[in-house]
Amino acid sequence: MTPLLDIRDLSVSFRTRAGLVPTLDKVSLQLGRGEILGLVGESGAGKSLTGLALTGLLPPNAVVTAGSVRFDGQEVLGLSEAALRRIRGRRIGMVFQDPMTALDPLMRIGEQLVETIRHHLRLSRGAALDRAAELLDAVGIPAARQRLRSYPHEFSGGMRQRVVIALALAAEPELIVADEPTTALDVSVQAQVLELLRGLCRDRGTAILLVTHDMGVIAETADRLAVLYAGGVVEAGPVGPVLSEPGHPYARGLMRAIPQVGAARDSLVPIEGAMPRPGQWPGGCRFQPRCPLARAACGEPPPDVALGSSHVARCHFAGVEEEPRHARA
Amino acid sequence: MIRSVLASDLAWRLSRSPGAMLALAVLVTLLILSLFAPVFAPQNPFDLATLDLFSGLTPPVWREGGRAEYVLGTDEQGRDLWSAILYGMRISLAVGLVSVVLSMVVGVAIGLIAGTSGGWVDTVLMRVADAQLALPAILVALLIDGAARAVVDVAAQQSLAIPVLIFSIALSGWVQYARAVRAAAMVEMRRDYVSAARLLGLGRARLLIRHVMPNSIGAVFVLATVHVAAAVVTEATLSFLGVGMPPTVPSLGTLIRNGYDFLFSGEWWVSIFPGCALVLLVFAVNVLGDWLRDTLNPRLQ
Amino acid sequence: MLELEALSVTYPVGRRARLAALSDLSLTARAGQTLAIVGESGCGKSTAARAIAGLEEPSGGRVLLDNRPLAPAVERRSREERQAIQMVFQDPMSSLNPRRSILHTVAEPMLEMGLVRTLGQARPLVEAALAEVGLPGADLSRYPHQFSGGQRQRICIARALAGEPRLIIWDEPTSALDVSVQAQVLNLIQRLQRDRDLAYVFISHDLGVVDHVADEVAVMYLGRAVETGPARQIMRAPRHPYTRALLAAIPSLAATGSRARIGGEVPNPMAPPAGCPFHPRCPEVRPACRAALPELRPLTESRRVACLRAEDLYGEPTT
Repeated sequence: MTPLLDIRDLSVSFRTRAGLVPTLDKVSLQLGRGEILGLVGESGAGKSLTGLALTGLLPPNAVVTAGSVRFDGQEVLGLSEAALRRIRGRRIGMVFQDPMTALDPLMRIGEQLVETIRHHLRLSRGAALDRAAELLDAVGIPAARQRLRSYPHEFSGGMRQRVVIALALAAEPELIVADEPTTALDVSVQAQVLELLRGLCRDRGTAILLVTHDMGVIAETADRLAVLYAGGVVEAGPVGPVLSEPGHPYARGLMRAIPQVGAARDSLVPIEGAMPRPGQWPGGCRFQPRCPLARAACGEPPPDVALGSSHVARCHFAGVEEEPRHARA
Repeated sequence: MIRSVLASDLAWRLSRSPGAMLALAVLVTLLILSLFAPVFAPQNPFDLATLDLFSGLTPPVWREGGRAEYVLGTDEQGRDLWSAILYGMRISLAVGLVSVVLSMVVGVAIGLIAGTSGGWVDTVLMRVADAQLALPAILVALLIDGAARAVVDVAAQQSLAIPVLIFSIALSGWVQYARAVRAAAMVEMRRDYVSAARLLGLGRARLLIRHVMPNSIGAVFVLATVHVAAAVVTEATLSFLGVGMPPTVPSLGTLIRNGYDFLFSGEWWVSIFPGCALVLLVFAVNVLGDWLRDTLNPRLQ
Repeated sequence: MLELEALSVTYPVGRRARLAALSDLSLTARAGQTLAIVGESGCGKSTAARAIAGLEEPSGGRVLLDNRPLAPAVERRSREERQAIQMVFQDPMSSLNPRRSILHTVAEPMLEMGLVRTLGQARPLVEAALAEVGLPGADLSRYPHQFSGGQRQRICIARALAGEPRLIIWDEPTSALDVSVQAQVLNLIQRLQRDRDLAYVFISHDLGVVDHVADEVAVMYLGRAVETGPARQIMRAPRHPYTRALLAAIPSLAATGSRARIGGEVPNPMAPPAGCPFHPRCPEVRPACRAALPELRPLTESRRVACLRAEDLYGEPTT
């Protein structure tokens, strides 16, 4: 069965004073219908860029230098703006990090919902209002009908993010791209919103591309995950195997560097150095300068090594470990 | 250090905007011409001894009756217009630049004090600013100029003309700087590096000078470039109205006024050429200033 | 070393309303130990930090250093008092003056505290300070924007240490940093404490980080402390329903299905609920909870809880 989203070898560069600077290098992802895929990486790794490339929302000085992005079998790159607009919102919904800038502060949210609904689905105003109330209800906002008349500033942060999710769902999309949807929220609210996303995925069969820097969020929410480092996917696979037995030294390093409640006191092992910014990528494996396993072979671009069913790591020494792993209490 | 980084980045951005580059070229040309006026001007229009009354109202060289030594013609006193424009532009630019600098100093000081003090000091200063904004700049300049004339006797007026002019234009323009700096200062006061400085016990004055001011005056330079154009026009207007530069030391505005009387009797060049020069100058400064403002606007990044 | 006694900070809002950002906070911080203040947005932890530092004036209560009350405003404190307490802020971008070189920035505390008299004298000390925080050989004439986020935070740490303080307030020092850098900075923070026997007040919303660094913890909700005590005990066996809920809500890497979730959100601090501020969201609420504000009272020798039902819930308390 063709995956809903099939990104192959996507490479994106930016036009700058210094020429073309690559920021994504041969990124490949697949997302099936009704699946939640987590795209994890630190800031500057390129994860937001990947999300934007899906819907033709790349900034004007970005250039796709190679690769393909297929949505439901159709190539998205190079589509006309009109064709892209038919996909955006209608078949691919988007949830961004900051709910305050996603919502027009001067419009009642009912109006914003109705506007989106009527743009994508040919419904009368009355039917659109009904649907808007349904959506607000589905995302867990009490007294949905009355709240249609509220303005964004009358909602709390978590509520606003729920409204943004409702907006993304308005046209019954097959895929939602959520870029750091819970980063700006309190922990207790974050848990609620994540549960909401999982529930929506289950009930409506909507696939979700969850882009975040927070491994914990991925662990809780996603079925599969891809780890992005310096513009490339270094590891991908089902969440369980990747988190419990990471094959790539970076992923392994991350697991040891994240403080967890209940872990032993001196157990934080940081990854020395910092991720190279676009324009400063070393040749060969880009993690090499920080990698405890680095050898001469790492000067060559690393291969994708299969570690299990659909579990892949891009490393010359995928799966190999130097020192014993610290026990996680 | 920061300025050199900005400068090179700015230079790159400049190279992508042909309009701004053209404006810069025009401005630099005009600046060189007026700075080195004695070199480029065949005649010193302020030196009465070199004027030849009989050459008065000679038309430009390409018209019938024109002469090669007076390329753009002469005014009624025999002053070569080309020379007069160069020397006049000098004065226009000098008055424009100095009054803007003065405006900036006054405005920045008031804005910083208002922005970092808060409370009634801020309120009082801003209400004064608001009150002045209610009056058009020309009117303010006229008032100050008029008051000065009343106080100073006629003999001294000639030599004091430039300082009074500069003073009145400066005083009519400080408000926008004060507001911009005040807004920026209020933002910077909230930043953590100011808190860190407070933790060291820095008093208000040192906090202001060392930390707040350098980070609040960015917007001011952009304002200033556009303001120079306005100041030049204000000076020209005042001179045109007869309350600016005296006719013996003409700026572009005075030249325009001078020629105004001859406009409808056929000797159009006496007024039009200085007018063109003024337009060119103001236009170039405005285009450059607009481009600078758009480029440096963080929100458009 | 540091004591907060019934510290309160209230802001007037508009003509009549008042916002109680902090109410009645009493805590102690000791040399060589880390006191963590945790909570979600609006809980008052940052307000507490700023009140300790003297950047905000409390409307009630006081802060004591070595048993002597500190002047509420940092401008009126003595030089010794200012030297003793320093702070590292959350956002490395806005914590450094963009127009000053890092030499000036790190040397400024040394000069202000009278440790050196000229910039020249400060230079070798600045180099040493930067080397100690993991930036050896850094170019002192550079400006903040030429460094990465993690490096900028290290510069802020060097600045905080430059004046030789005895207590450092950390306001979410790693929240704005990437995961791999966060671990480096946390390790650095702990090493510095061991080497210099510093007292820390550590503000955070991230319980994983807090569990890693804290000796004592105070959990805050809507401006009040709801639970205080040794960090290990509170993290392993929380006694306040909010603490439990907070711990349950953290996404963990060893995720196993769903956990007990609390509904609702932190209420508007301008309109706090009557009685116990947590009662509308509390899974263990009883009618009495609406009526009276529970006091923070001792449950065991070292722990305090602000809950009417503290003794009855969650089994026997252990020391």
